[in-house]
Amino acid sequence: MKSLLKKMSLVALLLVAVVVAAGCGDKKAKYTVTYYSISNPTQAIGQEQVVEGKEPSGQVSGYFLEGGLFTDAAGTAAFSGVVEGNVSLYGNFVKDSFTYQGSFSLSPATFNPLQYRSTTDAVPLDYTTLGFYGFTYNADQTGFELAPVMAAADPVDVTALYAVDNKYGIEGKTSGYAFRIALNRSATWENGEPITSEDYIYTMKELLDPKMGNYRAANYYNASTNIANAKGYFYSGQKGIGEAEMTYSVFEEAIYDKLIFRWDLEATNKFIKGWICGNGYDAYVKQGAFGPAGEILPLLVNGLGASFSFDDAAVKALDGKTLAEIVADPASKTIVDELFAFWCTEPNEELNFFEAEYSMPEVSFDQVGLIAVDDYTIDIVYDNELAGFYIKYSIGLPLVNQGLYSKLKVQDENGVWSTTYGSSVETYMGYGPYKMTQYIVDQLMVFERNENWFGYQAAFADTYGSFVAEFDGQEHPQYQTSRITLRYVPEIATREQMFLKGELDAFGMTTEYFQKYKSSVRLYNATGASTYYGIILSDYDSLVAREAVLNGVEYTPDYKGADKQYNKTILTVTEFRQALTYAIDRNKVVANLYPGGSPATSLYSNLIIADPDKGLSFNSFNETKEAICEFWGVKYGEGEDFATLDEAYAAITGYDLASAKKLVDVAVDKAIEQGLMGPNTIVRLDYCGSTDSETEKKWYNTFNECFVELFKGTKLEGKFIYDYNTNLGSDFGGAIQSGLADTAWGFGWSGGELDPYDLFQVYVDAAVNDDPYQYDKWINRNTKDYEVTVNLDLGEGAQDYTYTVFEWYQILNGTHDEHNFKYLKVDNAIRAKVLAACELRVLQDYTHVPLMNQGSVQLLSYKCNYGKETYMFGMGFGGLRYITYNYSDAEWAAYVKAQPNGTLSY
Amino acid sequence: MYMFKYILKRIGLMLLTFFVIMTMCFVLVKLLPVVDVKVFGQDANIIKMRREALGYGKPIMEQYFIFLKSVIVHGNWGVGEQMYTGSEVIDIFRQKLPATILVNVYSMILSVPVGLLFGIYAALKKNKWQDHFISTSVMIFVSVPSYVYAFLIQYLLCFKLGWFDFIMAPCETLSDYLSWTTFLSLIPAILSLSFGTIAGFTRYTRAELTEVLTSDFMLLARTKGLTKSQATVRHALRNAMVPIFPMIIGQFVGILSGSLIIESIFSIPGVGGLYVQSINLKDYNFFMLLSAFYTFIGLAANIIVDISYGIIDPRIRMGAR
Repeated sequence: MKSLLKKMSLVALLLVAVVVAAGCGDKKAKYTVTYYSISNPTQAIGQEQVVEGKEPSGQVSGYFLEGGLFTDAAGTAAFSGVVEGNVSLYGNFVKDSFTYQGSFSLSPATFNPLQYRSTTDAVPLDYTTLGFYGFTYNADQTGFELAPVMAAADPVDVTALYAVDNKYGIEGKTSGYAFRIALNRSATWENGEPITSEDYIYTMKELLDPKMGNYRAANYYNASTNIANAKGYFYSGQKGIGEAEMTYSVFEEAIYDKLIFRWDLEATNKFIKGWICGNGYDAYVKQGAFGPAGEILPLLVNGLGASFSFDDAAVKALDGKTLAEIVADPASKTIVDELFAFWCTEPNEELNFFEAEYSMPEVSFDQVGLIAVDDYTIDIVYDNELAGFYIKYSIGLPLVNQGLYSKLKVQDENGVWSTTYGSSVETYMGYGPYKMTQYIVDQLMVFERNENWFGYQAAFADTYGSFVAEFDGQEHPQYQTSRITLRYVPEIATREQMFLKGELDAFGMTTEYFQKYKSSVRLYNATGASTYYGIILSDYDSLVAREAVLNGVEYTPDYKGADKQYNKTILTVTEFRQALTYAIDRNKVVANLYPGGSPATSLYSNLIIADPDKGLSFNSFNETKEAICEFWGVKYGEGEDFATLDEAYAAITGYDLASAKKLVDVAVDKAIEQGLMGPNTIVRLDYCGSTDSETEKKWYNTFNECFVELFKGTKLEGKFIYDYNTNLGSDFGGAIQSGLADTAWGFGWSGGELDPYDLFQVYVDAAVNDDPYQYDKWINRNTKDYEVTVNLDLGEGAQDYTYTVFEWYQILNGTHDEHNFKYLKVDNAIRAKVLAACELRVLQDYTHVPLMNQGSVQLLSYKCNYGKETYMFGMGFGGLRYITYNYSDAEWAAYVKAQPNGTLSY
Repeated sequence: MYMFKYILKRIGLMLLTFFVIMTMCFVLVKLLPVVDVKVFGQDANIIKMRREALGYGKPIMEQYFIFLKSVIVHGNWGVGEQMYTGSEVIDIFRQKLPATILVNVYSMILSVPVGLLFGIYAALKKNKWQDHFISTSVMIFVSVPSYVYAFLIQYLLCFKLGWFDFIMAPCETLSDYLSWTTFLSLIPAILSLSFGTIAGFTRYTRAELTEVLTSDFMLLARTKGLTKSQATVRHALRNAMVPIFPMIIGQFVGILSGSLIIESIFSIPGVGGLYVQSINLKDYNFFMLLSAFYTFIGLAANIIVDISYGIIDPRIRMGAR
């Protein structure tokens, strides 16, 4: 046995020796090399060098950089030295290469331009596609402008041409609806084939093909700018069940068998619910309307304000029956007759109670507002008016390569269509400054200069030639990057190490890393357009129902919160919500949770542009500043803390603990007075998160600490519990909308960067939609309580105008009967003033709690510089177009190697 | 003949179990709520229409039969809807499986012999300092999760010493996967995966061998005149391998499921995260393919392990009465 062990030990020792020898024997031999050109092997090029490296075997072909380093592929240093002796290397000289080395942590699900969803999906599109008009710096580089890219010139208004009849629904219009785009005749696909009008027409037809279910289709029919008849074509011939008014306008016996009775007011009968809410009778299911068994009875309120109670169960029993079936049964007929008699004040309003099958009209693609005039001219007809800045900003069309796309569309045996377009190099074709040359799923994306791109042609040198970079004031070429490699690196710790070793050129970071690098000169802070906010539930019905459960009792009409252990309904007291809002230390929130972000004190960030012509952000208007100052109780002027509005506005932090504590005591007194709670009741609220994770806990802890601090020294000291709740899962937004949670944090919207008026929909649309964006959807902002008066001068002298917040939203977007404040219809200052007043009214509910503005921080390697040091909407830091390089790839490799331990310091 | 019948019976039962599990998986994943993220300006109907086209509105059992028909009759597992949209799920799975197998096979090649050697050595040196040293080390390596080694190895070998790449080299073809460059780039991941496995095998081997070495038949073997080495190799090791060999097979099966964290740290494009991702994103086609694969592998491995008992130890006869 001993001999066996000895043998084994010997083998192990030998193995170790081999490994050690391999590792330690890395004393690189020195060789001298003579370079020859492959094209002319007899002529030596480059000088002989003595470098460390590995011995070449025979003749090695490859590439040489001008600096003399040998590489095995263009642009990548293979080994840091070369070769000696009598060996000759054969290779080509190549220009210095400048590779941007990036990373990604999630592969695109698809980069099909018709189907992509996320920003991750869009990464390949960012490098390989372009729009008709693109953002570029203005002449003095102080702002942005939109310049033709895939278009040859600015659009020409041809509305009159298409307004002769109503084919496109714009009959009689004179301008702003149809535009002619002259295509850039130099634009080609990356394979060199020209891009013509036909490509755009084909793409649109495919995009709107309902059988493909293309995610991006809605961009052209459901956005603020919609192509005429695009929606009709998309839905052409579709059938389904919808409100009866969609199909029938006259209530008559002939259609009785087509009408299906619906009594689920909450879910389906939008008209009745909408009417009731819209007229101020939002509590149509009133507390107190209880049946003998304690069940809640619906209480209908008609237009006169009279109420009507009824046998809920009997009416519900009719749900789903056709009217023909109902009238056949006398008892049932009596019920609906009573309902009709009560409800109807206008003819045909009986239809409000029914659903019916609808069939969308057939629309051919010829009716869609996209017309190829000739090979290089295209007309686009919109169903809404475009003006000023928004013309070039809104005009855009997607592109897929017809030959490739048609080949890749397949239908399976179950009739389901799908396509692999945009899933690999072979299944994708771009037309931008770069082309994808390698894509390995979950591993690597490589993009190289698309030499067929028109921007590299001499004819476009004025536009895409050189520019003056901000960091050195010198001229640099645009699109200096010759290659982009994006490696799949999901782990942030790995990304950091690779960045420090010069293998990545940018490192985006989380809070922990931000603390480490926050003083670095290479740190860049990019502001985003979104504002994240929290939602506080204020709906009494939802709160009291869950409060009863918390107290272990069944909710009944005579429920009294005053004698219970726990309370939630204090959230219905405005001062309490206000106190919570004031108690959040937004600087702490940002520091703890979101490096790169900034504290938010209003619904819109500074990047939201309200006057695109002048590039003015919504927050730069005095009216906006005044509204925000009023909301936070910050005063300015003589005898106040601040002399001017700007000073007052700049001083707002959104954190006022002293005021918050006073508000708590006021709120407690009110709650006790209203019988919501007793003096010893414990307020117990929940934090609603998506999944139980360290990040989620960090969020919870941050807010919990703020609230614990708030209640110290108040009447709720020691009487507050904040529960951590992740049981509602990823739909926590839906949960709080439905009143299933008390507080939830971190909501935000994107998409309204240049149109805050349109984006305002997310605060008001519960007035009309059953499934609204509005997170506090229990609040209907189309009621008397939400009337806002704004003093405006519309050309007839200044006077007060009063409308509900929802109506103002309609006015600002041109969908109101009385006024139209759409872009260019009135001065932008008037629009901003109205929006500021509405924003204030929304904020004063204290259900939306502004937290922080979107942003990100990243380190940029010493290898390259951004074109601009300051972040600008539309341009960022200039993007890849304006990145300049301090080192070529070879120089960079040498530079990194020369650092102590080959590690860069930031 | 007994064995043949036994295998047939086991395969029959396996197919039945497989069908039951697949049915349960299909029904359960379809019962999970689907949450649509609200996107400003998006038309929610597009998603609804797509779901309708995919048959998601039909009764679950009807959907199941359509799924079975597609798979059995047409060999079609469907395309990705939420993940790798439009691509055949089977193709994506085929692309990603080699990386997982490769890194784990390398790890096994290293772990099994090293683990066995340490185990044998510790057993032979039972209660001596060598045994104590190995046993203590084993406890440490078994207790510490593999991602801790992974971070340490990456920091020391890749960052500080610069011996290896941080992440796996990009691979597109089989020859890429089997290249020396790829192997070198995988060494940190292999080491990270191996420490725990080596420790496991060492502990198990030591325990089994220690027991066998003290058996009466070992005394008999020595009294017959065999040297200690001969007795250990020919008799003790073979007996000790009866429970160890199935453990090795079990490890190989585990290989196929990948290691989510190790794959993430070293950017190995394997299948580690695929299953969880398919559940989170409700990509039914991916979920069903992966469920089928792992269920089948798991069930098949059980049969193989059971049969292997009979091969390793002639005293065990499967199916015999």
